[in-house]
Amino acid sequence: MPTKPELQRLESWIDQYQPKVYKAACLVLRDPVAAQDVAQDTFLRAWNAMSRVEEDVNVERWLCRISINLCLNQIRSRRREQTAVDRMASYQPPEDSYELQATRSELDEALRRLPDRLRVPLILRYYLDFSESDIAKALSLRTGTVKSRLHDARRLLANDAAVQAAH
Amino acid sequence: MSDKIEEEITRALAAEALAYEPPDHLVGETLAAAEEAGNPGPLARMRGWLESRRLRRRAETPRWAFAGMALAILVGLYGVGFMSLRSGQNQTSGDPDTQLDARAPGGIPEIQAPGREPGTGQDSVTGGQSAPQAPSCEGGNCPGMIAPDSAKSAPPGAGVDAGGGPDTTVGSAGEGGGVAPGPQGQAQRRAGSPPVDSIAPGPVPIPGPAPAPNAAAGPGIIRTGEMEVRVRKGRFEDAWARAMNIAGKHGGFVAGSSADQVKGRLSRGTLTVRIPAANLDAAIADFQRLGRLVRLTSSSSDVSGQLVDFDARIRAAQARELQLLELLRQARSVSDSLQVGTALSEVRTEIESLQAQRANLQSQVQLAALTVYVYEPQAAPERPKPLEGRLSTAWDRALDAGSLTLSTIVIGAGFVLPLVVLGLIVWGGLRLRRRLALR
Repeated sequence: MPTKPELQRLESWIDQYQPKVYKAACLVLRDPVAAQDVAQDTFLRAWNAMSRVEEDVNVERWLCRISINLCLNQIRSRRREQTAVDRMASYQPPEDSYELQATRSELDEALRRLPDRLRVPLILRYYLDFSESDIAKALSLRTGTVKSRLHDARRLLANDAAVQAAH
Repeated sequence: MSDKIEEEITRALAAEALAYEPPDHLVGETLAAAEEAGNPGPLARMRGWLESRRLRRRAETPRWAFAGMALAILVGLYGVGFMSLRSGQNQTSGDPDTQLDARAPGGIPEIQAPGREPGTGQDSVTGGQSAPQAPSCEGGNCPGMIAPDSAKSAPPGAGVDAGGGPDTTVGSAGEGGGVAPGPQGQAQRRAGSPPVDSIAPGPVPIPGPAPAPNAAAGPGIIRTGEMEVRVRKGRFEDAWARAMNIAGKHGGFVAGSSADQVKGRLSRGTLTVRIPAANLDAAIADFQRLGRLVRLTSSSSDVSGQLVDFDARIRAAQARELQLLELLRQARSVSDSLQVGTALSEVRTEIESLQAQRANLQSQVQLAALTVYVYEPQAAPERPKPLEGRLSTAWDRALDAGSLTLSTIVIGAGFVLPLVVLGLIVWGGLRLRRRLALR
């Protein structure tokens, strides 16, 4: 049976980091239901490794990376399902609430239109504050590829006519 | 501009994230799931530990770590190659006890029983001909030879006396009459016993005493020597002819010879002789008188332990043979007889092999090897100065060692390379699959 100190430690992690983990998963998946599963699985995996986590590990970074890996697994499984069932169908994120749609700017819309290969590194960089090398490790890419994708994402967003008009 | 867009992106993401609030029940459900899962198993713990290791906050891997890794890989490859070379040498090398005398380019000199016509040897190079002659056995026994049949009257199970007297021999089975040990047996051997290499295995082996060691050379000492003699100009051929006779004069023979021309005239040669160890010093003195002695080196190798070992193994094999013979006599069925006969044949083969090896070693003990270089002044071999010679030798050895190390590493890499290629293919496929999934 798990010991009480371990459960207390897990509870403190959940209180401290689960909101951010959940939000990051929502940004990546754009699906709150799937994000809940990711957020829960993230802490279950952390629970499995708790006894061997070294003292100098950045817990927040570690948890975020676990959640990103789970998100990527979700994306891959979605693509496999789409390919198997209907090649022509494309995934549509659920409709946001009216309030959210009203406050969204053109940049927000441009962000939503970004493909996953550009959006995910962007989220890791500007929301989770990952370094480029951390992003490369998380996504199993070369650092140069990460830099290139971030640059492409910024360029696409900057070239959006609505963004230019806002500036 | 780029800073502004980055700020806008950060703001937009934060604003979007703000809209996503985790449901209240998520914390409780997560805790409940953890409690329900209980203590994680070892596999789960290991997976979690590996994930935490990857994110461990640490400095970038220092360069010396890469150098260390590269060195460790090289050492590993060297180790793999070294083990491979060693296993290959063990498979191909034969019994060291049967190594031929390297200083006798004509091969092992023909050991002949008394009364047998001497055979003819082979010279290694044109320019000098000599027929290796059988060692003279007059006036004494020829301990370098294996005695033919030993006496049938010898008590069964008699052991071989490794340090026995001059009449001791190792008996090898043979039909057609045994030879009694002792002086009587020695006379029989001289009288024309069948030569060693014509003895056929027989059914009644009687172990005999081991051959006597050469008193002059000690219990089991192999002596070798090398000398350079410089003769006066124009006197090479005369000296060469005299040198050819020195070996025979001292009871030995010429194992190999070669002579070269310099400026159209024979003026240097190399002679390899086998001489009874007791007469080696006298033979060296005779060679010195051919001209001026330039260099003389000699060495000795004690192989008495090996001889004793051979004797012990032969005794043990002969004892086994006697036991098998007794079993054969008591055998009542054909199958039993066949089985015992097969074992008997194997033991007999082993005995003969050991006896041959011992005889070879004994011949090296009895007959010292001497290499003589004879040359006129203008045909002298070029000699490096002492310091240059040492440095040159060291440099050559360093090059040899370096090439050996490199070749060993290459061999190790050959073992590892297919695995590395396979690993790279699998790794590349996984990465490609991940990248395609993200597009």
